[in-house]
Amino acid sequence: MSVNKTDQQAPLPTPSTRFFRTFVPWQLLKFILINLKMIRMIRRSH
Amino acid sequence: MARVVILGAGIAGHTAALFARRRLPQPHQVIVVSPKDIYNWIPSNIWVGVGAMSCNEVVVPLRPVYAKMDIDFVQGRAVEIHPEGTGAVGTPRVIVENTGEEATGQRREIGYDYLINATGPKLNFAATPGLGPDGFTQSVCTYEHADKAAGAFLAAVEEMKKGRTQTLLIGTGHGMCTCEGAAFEFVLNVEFELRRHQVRDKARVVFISNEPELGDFGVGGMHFKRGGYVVSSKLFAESLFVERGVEWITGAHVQKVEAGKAFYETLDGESHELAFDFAMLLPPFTGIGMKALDRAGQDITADLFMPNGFMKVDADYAKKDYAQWKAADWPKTYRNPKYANIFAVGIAFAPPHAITRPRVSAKGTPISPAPPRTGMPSAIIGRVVANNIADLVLGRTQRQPKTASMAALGAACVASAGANWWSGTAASMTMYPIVPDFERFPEYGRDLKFTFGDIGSAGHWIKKILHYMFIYKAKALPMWWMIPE
Ligand SMILES: Cc1cc2nc3c(=O)[nH]c(=O)nc-3n(C[C@H](O)[C@H](O)[C@H](O)COP(=O)(O)OP(=O)(O)OC[C@H]3O[C@@H](n4cnc5c(N)ncnc54)[C@H](O)[C@@H]3O)c2cc1C
Repeated sequence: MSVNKTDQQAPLPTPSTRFFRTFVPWQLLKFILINLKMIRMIRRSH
Repeated sequence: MARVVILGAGIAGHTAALFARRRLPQPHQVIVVSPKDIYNWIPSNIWVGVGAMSCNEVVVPLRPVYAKMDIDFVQGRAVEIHPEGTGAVGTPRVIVENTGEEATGQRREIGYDYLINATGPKLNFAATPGLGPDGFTQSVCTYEHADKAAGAFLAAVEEMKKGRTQTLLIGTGHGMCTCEGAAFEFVLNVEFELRRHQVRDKARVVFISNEPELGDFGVGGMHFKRGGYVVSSKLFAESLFVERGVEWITGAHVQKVEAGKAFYETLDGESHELAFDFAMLLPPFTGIGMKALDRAGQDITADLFMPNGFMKVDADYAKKDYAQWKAADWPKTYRNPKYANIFAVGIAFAPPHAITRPRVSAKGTPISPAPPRTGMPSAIIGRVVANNIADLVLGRTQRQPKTASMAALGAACVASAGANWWSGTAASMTMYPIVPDFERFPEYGRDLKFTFGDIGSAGHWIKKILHYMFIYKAKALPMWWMIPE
């Protein structure tokens, strides 16, 4: 059976990485950065 | 006076119609033909499918929008194209079968000067016996399907609340499917909702895909810089699954589905069975199966369409091995090579070949993702083609037509992993170009400056904001055209 249960080669996030994923001030900063990256990419495509 | 007829009011066709009308004043005519008078923002169907959004939030009634924009709307299904006219009438036309409440099934002819085929996919559930909402699995490809899927999912949640364990199988329902990203998003949303309903411990969540490995997404995977390394989307996707306890089966072709059981073959040629309580498996896509006839009534479908029903455009369709595939094979202007006034945009155009390297199982079954034409490129192509047609109509022939090759367009994919403003997250990924170009970017085929992946609440906020922006644009509200595709 080829169901892959836990592939231990996959990197797992540390508790702090997980915390920052939903930590609002950090995500607000990320929000701006991701938007800028996307705008750059959209500009290149338009 | 020119008449531009657009077949299909999905992401590509609706965008093309709005831009065609913006560029072409009266007396030029813009006509949209579509079986339903409703627009569906399909990417948000995944939220409908888990009961996190209502159908009303993902649809826009088209008639008021088209009345405001001075676009004619015909509720019907295009069935035939006569690019040279019929009999005594030597001007091109399409045959449309009414689907509205009045005169359902009756056929009418609509003449055109320019035709844009934006009919999207036929959801080919029939390719796998037992697949689809009329069989034993759910789908999220339309808002009606997604609504039904939500009912089945919430019923499974109720079972879990009563203490019964459930197996949820999510993914692709055939070896030649596309749109793996949608299945990926759906499985992450299901897993998130199970935690929200506090029944995660009662669920086994299994992802099944025709991708050779997780994170392929039908684009041969991608690489991005993270933490000082160049990592593959495979590691990124696997990490998300391991963290959430989602099991996965890759390189799988679902052969048939029976009540509560899926039968599938994997790339090693082995056959397997998996019992499930809830399954959402996407169907493979084909073209919608329009015919083409010449003036004498002879069938010329093969001049306009590939055998899979998608429309031939300015791509290089010569059969080539994977090693010979080039970015230049991909179409630029989406014009039919034989009939210069016919164009195909979005999923309706025939790609020259896949993007992921094709694979067959040890038994010879093709198990490999078909190339995706996601929302962003579909809409950009719709806009570019509409603007090029406007230039032709307005006699601006000295202008070079704009191009929109998927080997020169990027794509932003924000894969939702939970619909909640504070605890929800999404994997934001961008890539440039969509079709890898190893001549320009020899190492990874893509520009790593524009290819990245990240997960967090910010991604979810972006996805939610994009939902409202695209619904706003679909309604053609003030300054709609400023919103990029
Ligand atoms: C569940 C799901 C989630 C997705 N999520 C994302 C995402 O997050 N981001 C993204 O970029 N892409 C996403 N996609 C892909 C995206 O939805 C498609 O790329 C996009 O819808 C393609 O646009 P289209 O106009 O070519 O086809 P469609 O949107 O399918 O539109 C086709 C139109 O043609 C009409 N039509 C059909 N037959 C006829 C006929 N005979 N005559 C006239 N009209 C006809 C249909 O009714 C429809 O109006 C997702 C897809 C799915 C299924």
